[in-house]
Amino acid sequence: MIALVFAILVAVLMGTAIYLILQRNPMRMLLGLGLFTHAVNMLVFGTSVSDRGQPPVLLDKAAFDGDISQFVDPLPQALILTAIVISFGIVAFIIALLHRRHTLDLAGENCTDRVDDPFAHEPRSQLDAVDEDYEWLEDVVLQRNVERQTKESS
Amino acid sequence: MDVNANWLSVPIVLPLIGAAVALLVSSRVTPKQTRTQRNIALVTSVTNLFVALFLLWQTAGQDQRVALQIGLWPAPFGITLVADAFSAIMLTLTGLLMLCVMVYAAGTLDEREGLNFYPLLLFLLMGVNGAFVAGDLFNLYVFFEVLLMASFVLLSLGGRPGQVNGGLRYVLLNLMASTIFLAVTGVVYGTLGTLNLAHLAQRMDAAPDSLRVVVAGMLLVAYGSKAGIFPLFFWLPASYHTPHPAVTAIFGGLLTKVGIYALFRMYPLLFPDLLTQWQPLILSIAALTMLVGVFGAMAVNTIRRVLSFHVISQVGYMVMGLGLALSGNQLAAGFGMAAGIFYIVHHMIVKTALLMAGGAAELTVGTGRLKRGYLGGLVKRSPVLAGVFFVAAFSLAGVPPSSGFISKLGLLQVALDAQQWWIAGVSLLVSLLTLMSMIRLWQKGFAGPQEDVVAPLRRPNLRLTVAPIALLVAVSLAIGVFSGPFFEWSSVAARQVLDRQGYISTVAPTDQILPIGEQSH
Repeated sequence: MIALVFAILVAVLMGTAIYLILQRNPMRMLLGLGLFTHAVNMLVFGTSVSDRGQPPVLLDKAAFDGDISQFVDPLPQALILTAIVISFGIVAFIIALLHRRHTLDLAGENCTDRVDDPFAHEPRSQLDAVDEDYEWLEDVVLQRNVERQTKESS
Repeated sequence: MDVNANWLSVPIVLPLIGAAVALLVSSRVTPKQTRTQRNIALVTSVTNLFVALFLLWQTAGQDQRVALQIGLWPAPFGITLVADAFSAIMLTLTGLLMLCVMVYAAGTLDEREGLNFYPLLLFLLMGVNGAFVAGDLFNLYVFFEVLLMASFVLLSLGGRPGQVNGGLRYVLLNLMASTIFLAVTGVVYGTLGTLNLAHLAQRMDAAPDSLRVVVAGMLLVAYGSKAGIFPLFFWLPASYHTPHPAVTAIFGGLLTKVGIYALFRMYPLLFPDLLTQWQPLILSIAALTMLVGVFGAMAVNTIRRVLSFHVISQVGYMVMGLGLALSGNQLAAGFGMAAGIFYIVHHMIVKTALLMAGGAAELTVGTGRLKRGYLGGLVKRSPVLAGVFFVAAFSLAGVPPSSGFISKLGLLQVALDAQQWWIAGVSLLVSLLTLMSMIRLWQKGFAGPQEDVVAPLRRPNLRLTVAPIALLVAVSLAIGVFSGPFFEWSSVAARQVLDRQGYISTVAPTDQILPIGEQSH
C-alpha cells in the first residue's frame, strides 16, 4: 500500500518537474530541475520503505535474536543524503549562472529583448548559431542570384 | 606478482590533496600565487601519470586485475575500487592528457588563469580517475557528479556572455542525465538489493527480463547523454566552443569518453546477452551519431565548433565497437571490443591535440571564423603550429601511418567479419566526410593568404603551446607505426572486460557478514 502511495507521489512530482523544465522561463526551469531531483530522491527512498516499519536501531541488545526482517533498510537514506547534497550544490550553481546572465543583460551585453527567455540570444537555431556560422549558405545564395541575373540579362 | 591494492586509491586521493593544497595557497590570486598553483598542479599530475603507468604495467602488462576494499569491508557492503587493464589504460591516458593540457594552459591562458584554474583541473582529474576505478554504481554516480561539478565551473570560468549561455545548457542537460542515472541506481537497489557491480553481475542473470530491459535502457540513456550519442548530444555543440581553448581541449578529450567507458564497462558485465540482442539498436545509434556529427561539422563555421561536432561523430565509432563487441566470425571473439578500446585510445589523444592546435590557431589570429580571409595564412605565420595541426587532422581522418588509420581499420575489419555491411559502409562514408571536413579546415584556416587582420588580445606563448600538441601527435604516430604492442594491450583489456567471471572473482562479493576479527587480511 505504502509503495503505491510512493509510486503515485514520484509520478506526480516527475510529471510536474518535466512540465516545468519544458517552460522557457529560466526560474521555472530551475524549479523543475529541483523537483526532478526530489522526485528521483523519493524514488530511491521508496526502495527502503516497506511494511516492516521498524527503525534499524537496537533498543535492547540482550533481547536481539539476529532477526532483521522487521527493520527498514537504512542504506537508501544514506544514498539520498549524498544525492541531496549534490543536487543542492548544482542548483545553487545554476542560480549563480542565472544571476550572472541577468547582470550581463542589465549591462546590455546581450541582445535579449526578454530577460526571461533563456535562448533569446540566438533565437534562430538549436546550434547556438551566430551570423558567421551560415555565411557559406549566404555565399551559395549570392552565387545563385548572380547566375540567375546573368541568365535573365542574356 | 601481487600488487599492493592501496595504489588504487592514489589516483583519487592525490589530485584531491593537490587541489586542496593549491587552494590553500590563494585567497587572492596574484600572478606569483598562480605560478605556485601551477607548479603544485604540475607536480601532482606528473606523479599521477607515473602511478597510472605503474597500474597499467601491473594490470595490462601482467594481465591481472586489482581490487581494493576500502576500510576492509567485504565486497558488497563497502566501497570497492577495481582496476583492470581497461581502467588502467584510461587512467594513463587521462594523466597524459591532463599534463599536456596544463602545460598548454600555462602558455595560452588569459586572466582566467588566476581564477583557481589549476585546482579546478585537479578536481576534474579526481572525478575522472574515480569514475574509471569505481566498483559500484553509486560511487560511479558520485564521481560523475564530482567531475561534472568541476566541469561546470571550468566551462563558465570567467563568466563571459557566451560561456554563461553555453554553461546553462550544459548544466541543465547534464543534471538531467545524472538524475536519470540516480533513478536507475534506485531501481537497481530496490529490486536486486545491491549496488556492487560484481554482485550485480551475479544477480542480474536471475533477474526478470522486464527489469533487465528497464535497467539497460535507462543506463543507455544516462551514459549515452554523457557520451553524446545520437538523440542526446545537443548539449555538446551548444557549449564546447564557449570556454577557453584549453578547457575545450580537455573536455573534448576526456568527458564524453567517461560516458563511453561506463557503457563499455556495464554492458558486457551486466547484460552480455543484450549486446547481441540489441545489436541492431546499438549499431543504428552508432551510425546516426557518426552521420549527424559529421554533417553538423560541415554546417558550422568556426574551428572549435567544427571540432566539437567531430567529437560526436567519433563517439559513433566507439559505440560501433561496442555494438560489434561480441560478434566474431573468422576473428576471435572480443576483437570488436579490442578495436573499440583502441579507437578510444586513438581518439582521446588525437582529439585533444587537434582541439589544442585549433584553439591555438584561434588565439594567434584572434578569431576562429572560417570565413575566407579571416584566419588564413597560418602556414606562413606559425608553420610549426600548422604542421602539428596537419598531422593531427589527418590522423583524425584516418590517413596512414597515423593511429587513426589502424583504429578505423580494426573496426572495419570486425564489421566486415560480422557481415554488417551497412555499418561498414557508413563508417567508410563518414571517414571520407571527415577527411573533407579536415581539408576544409586546412584550406580556410591555414593555407592561403590572410586578408582581414584581426588583432588577438594576447598572443600565446608558442613554445609552451606547441610542445604538448607535438608530444600528443608523436604519440599518435607512434601508436600508428608500432600498432602491434598497443593493439595487444587493448586486446588484453577487451578480454578482461568481457571476462565476467574474472571480474566477479576479483571482487569476490559475499552474502555473509563476517564479524570483525574473523577475517584474515
